[in-house]
This record gives sequence, C-alpha cells and structure tokens, in this order.
Amino acid sequence: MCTECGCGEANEHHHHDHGQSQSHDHSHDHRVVEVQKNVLAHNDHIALHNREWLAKRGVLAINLISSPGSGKTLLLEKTLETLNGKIKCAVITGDQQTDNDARRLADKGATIHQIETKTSCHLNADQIAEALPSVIKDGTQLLFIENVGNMVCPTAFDLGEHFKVALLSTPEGEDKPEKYPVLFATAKLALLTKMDLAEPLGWDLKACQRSIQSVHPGMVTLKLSAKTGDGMDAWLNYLESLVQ
Amino acid sequence: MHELSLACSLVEEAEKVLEAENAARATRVTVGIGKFSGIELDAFEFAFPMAAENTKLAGAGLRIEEIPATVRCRVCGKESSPTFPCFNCANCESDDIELLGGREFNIQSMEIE
Repeated sequence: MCTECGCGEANEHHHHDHGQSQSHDHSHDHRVVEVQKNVLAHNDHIALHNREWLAKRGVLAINLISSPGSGKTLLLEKTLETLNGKIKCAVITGDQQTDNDARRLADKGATIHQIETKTSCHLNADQIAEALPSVIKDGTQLLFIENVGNMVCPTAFDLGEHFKVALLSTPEGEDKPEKYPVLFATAKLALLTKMDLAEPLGWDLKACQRSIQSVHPGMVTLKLSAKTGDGMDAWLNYLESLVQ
Repeated sequence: MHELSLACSLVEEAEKVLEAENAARATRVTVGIGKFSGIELDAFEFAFPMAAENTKLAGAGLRIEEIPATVRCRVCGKESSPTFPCFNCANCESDDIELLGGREFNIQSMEIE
C-alpha cells in the first residue's frame, strides 16, 4: 500500500511523481488542485439574465413556494380575476405532470405558461428563460412563478425572481417555518392560507406567528382565505403597491 | 429530494476539472455548502456515491465544509454572520439585508491523480 496517498499499490520502488509521468512500473501524479467552482454557476448565471431581462421590461417577478395543496393555484385564480383590467399579469406555473393549473388559470386576463418538470422537484432558471419571451407581453407588470409544490428544493434554485413568497396553509400545522427554515428565512412575505379552516382545525395563529418570527424576525405575514375572500384585499393592495 | 441531481451536477463539473488537469480520477472532493443553500447534507452524502458510480469519481471521498451566512444590512450598513436559521442582521435585527454568502454549492478542491 502506498503510504503517501493510500492508493493501494505496493511497490518497493514506488515513486510519487508530482508533475511529469515516468516510465516507471508505478508512477502516477497525485496532487490536490484548488478549484473554487460553483456547481450551480450555470443556473445562477441564467437567473441573473432573467432578472435583467425582466427589469428592462419593467416586470416584477414573484416566486411562489409552498407544499403541494397549500392553495397557490386558487390564490392565483382569485388574484388574476381581481387584477384583470387593472394590472397586466403573467403566470409561469410548474408541476411534474399535467397542465391542470394552466387550464384553471386560463381566461382571467393573464398570459399563462405551464412547465411540466417531469422528474424534477423544482423549476430552474433555464426553464424560466425559455418561457419568458412568450409569456411576457408588452405592458406586463407582474409575473407570478408558481413553483412545483415543495418547500425545500425550489429554495436552492434562483430563477431570477425579485423575491419569494412562502405560503403556509392552516391544515399543515403551525410549525412548518421551523421545520423548513430556509424558505421562511429567505422569503420576503408569508401568506397564511385557508384561514377559513383555522377554527374547525383548532389551528393556533399565535403559535404559527411565533414559529415564523423565530426564523425570520419582522417577516411580513398576511392571513387570507382565497375561497371566502377574507383577507384578499390586503394581498391585492400589497401587489398594487409593488407596481405603482 | 433534489440532492441526487445536485450530486450528478457536482460529478459533471468535477469531471471537467479532471479533463482540464489531464487526470485519470479523483480520490477526494471537497465541497463548500452554504447554510442557506437548501441542500440537505445527509441526503447529499447519501447520493454522492451513487452519482459517482461508473465515473472518474467512483470511490472518491467526499468532504463537506459548511459555509455560514454572511449578510450586509441595508439599515445599519454592517456586515454580520447571523445564526442559522435566522438571517436577519446580527447587529440591528433588520431583515432588510443582502445575502453575501450562505447559498454556496462549490467544489473547493480535489485530490486527483
């Protein structure tokens, strides 16, 4: 066994040749190279271009991230219906399979683009770059990116959005922010959804707010029910304030 | 969940380094992973040997160095290293910060031959 590098070769005449290769029985070049290479450099680079592309056209992009079933699509349905004629919107929606969400969001005044990610659990910057030219029409002010339902993986991939919004629905419990802190720490806004179910579920608002504040002190939090419409005004006012 | 695809991306990038260095294989890779990268270390360590199988990284050791978050506060202007999972300014607690470090997923160095 080579005692210098543990390469498994036993040879009395072992030489470590750092540099040139020799015609020796056991000659190799074992060395450490400093690399400092960003593995996600490609994604980050494309995300940067997406951000510049959007800024040039005056479009604000919001990346919506949450568990599957937390109410992203219903929230967008109601949001688009209300903003129709006031703020020109576009939506890129990602799921592993189907165009169900695109069909739900159609005919509400916004351009919709569905991405089927197949085996992937998140959207990436390349997919957004490819979708942007067709989904962003002249005069578009707001782009919603509805990420694949997942609280972990989408946080690792910058898409070129201006900020992330985390959704947390009442049936998921109160302590999701502590369990999935990266999303709540890095999102600008938390939306507590399905508030109409809070009472029947015995869901504890104060405990949830404590959980949010423990990972992101001062995080802006809005409560709403897209189904009943309660709390939607604050969300819509927030969006309108962003594009003024 | 996405750690296997990240491990595959790592192997692809590492193979490019091997090619550039005219090396046959890697025996160890040192990776820097930011605390806010969204990468689960256990899952990544589990996925790496599978991603490396049948490549020039097969059997290579994996060393992970965790990189803490560094932020610059837009309110007080100071740079600080907040304690995970918070990344508010460690000086004035504002959340109006710019994340300078903590999202990394880097190959830092490789032992090659």
